[in-house]
Amino acid sequence: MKNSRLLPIIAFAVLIAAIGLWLAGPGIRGGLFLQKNGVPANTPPSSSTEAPASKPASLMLLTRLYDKLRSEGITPADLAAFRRAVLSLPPDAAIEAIIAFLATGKDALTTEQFEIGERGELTGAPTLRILLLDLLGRLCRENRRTEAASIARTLLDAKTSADEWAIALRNIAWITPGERTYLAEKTREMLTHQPWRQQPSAGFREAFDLIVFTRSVTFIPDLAEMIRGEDTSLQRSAGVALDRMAERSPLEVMTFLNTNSGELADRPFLRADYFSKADLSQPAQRIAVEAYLSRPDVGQPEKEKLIAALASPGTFAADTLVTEPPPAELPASYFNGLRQSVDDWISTSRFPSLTPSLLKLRAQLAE
Amino acid sequence: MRKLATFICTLLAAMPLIAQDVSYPELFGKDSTQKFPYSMTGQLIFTSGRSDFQGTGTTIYGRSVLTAAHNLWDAQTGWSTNVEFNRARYGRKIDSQVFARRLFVYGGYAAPTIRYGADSSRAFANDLGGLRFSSAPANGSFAGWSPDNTPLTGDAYNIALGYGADTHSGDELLFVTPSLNFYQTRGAFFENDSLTFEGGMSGGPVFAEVEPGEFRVVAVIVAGSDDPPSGGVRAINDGGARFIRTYLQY
Repeated sequence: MKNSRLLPIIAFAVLIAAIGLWLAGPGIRGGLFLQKNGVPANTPPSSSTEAPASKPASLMLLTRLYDKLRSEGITPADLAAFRRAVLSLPPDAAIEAIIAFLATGKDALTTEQFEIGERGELTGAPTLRILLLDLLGRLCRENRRTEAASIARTLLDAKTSADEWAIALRNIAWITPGERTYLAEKTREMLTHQPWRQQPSAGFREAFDLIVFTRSVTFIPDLAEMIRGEDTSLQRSAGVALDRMAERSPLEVMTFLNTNSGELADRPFLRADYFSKADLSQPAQRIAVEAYLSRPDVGQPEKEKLIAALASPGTFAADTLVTEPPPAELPASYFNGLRQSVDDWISTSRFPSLTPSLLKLRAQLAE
Repeated sequence: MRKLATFICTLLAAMPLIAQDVSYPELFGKDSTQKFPYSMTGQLIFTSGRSDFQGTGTTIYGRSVLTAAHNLWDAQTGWSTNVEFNRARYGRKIDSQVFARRLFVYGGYAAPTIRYGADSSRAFANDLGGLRFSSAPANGSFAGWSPDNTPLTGDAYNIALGYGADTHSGDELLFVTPSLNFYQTRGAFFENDSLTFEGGMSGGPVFAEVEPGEFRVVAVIVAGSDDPPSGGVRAINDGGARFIRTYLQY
């Protein structure tokens, strides 16, 4: 019992020691090495002995950190060193310390912009809280801990900031990926929050990846509305999200668009793209494409766009919050299914008005 | 006759007042066009929506081409189709002509979009794009590239190439060399106020002389403006290098 009460204090002290080293300057920072027991070498004795005993002293150190962030300016190298220092702490200590830090509610701006790197990890965080939420998620993912998801759920009870919400949603998706319904609900809440939507931050737009992750086609009308809207950045975010969702969940998207025939009717070339994601070696997907090509409400140019797009599938490849980057190669079965379908459609005159387009596609596939 | 719409629509049709230190694209010449590594550059013709557009790309591996993302995807009309690459074109002479089999855009939900002036009919996303082909446009040869941005901002010689179609035909390779260094605007987006690009040069390479006599692609043309004069390029940074190695090393 006594030990469990001491743990957060010890963890906090370890973080304070790391921060103290980090604040002390490049000379010490360059010499930050961990001993086997996890206590940073070169740690000034006063930092490690006074910090856990005195909460005001801890807060003073944090205040110094805020002051440094707010007034003196922080270089990217400083922030990178800070990240390394936190991530090199024993996971238990680091997680406990970050949670304690976040509980204070204090925050400070960094010099970074919201930027995603490999595996959905942030390479840029605009605030210290976002930086720590990112680190917390990374630590919990690596160490199979759940605290990041718990903290995220609490955070999502209030509209703090869109960027914090983006990382909170990511952390839940990482730690408890089965909670797709909850994630879809919260993502919708985020995307419809007018103050955030009117001035969409980078985190707000990156959160569109949760739509792709949840595979919820109920977002399609919302995304279509954004594509029609005047905000260029949201047009792009919505367009990329729809395209990536169609690539990851082709049957679900095609079924939705065939069932809701008016959806995206005013953006025929975009709608055609979402049917071009079909893997025609899969019978259900081929049926969905054939149903689309048979629809009288779909114009000839739109159908021709689909046939042309099948010849050169397009893919977005970028670092995203939750979903994996697409594979570089399409399986051989994809092309076999495409060739077989095109041959069948031509030989049976299934779509007579599209015969010239289909003959051209067949010739391209034979190259 | 094909309908040819130039791709960078921000550029003014009328010749502006020419500042003394601003370079404008000029004909590169048939011999230079066919000289390696410039011969790895080619004209792109593609369909977007109901219109055909023109851009530029560079053979970056045996069967792949590096270009600008907005040549390949648009938020209103989606993916481009019938993407044709005419390598080392000079007038009617085309060294090779191939059609793309895969399109890749390196860009996520929050990639910055940049809009140049009230006469801009399209927004520019400063992203890289890639094309893959079933056959090698240059018989397996390709231009070298580098993720090092310092040649853009340092003393290295830079030359930008593209098939400009504003005041030129669009069928001949143009070149332009800056008299000043590029400067970083945001992330991997760099600008230069000592040059302009013509519509159709979008996606073309910026070659830098990284060693004496050795030229590598270090950036891709993505934006341009005549008033004020400025050219925007997307440098190949670490993320761009990963994109090229993962999706275009083909």
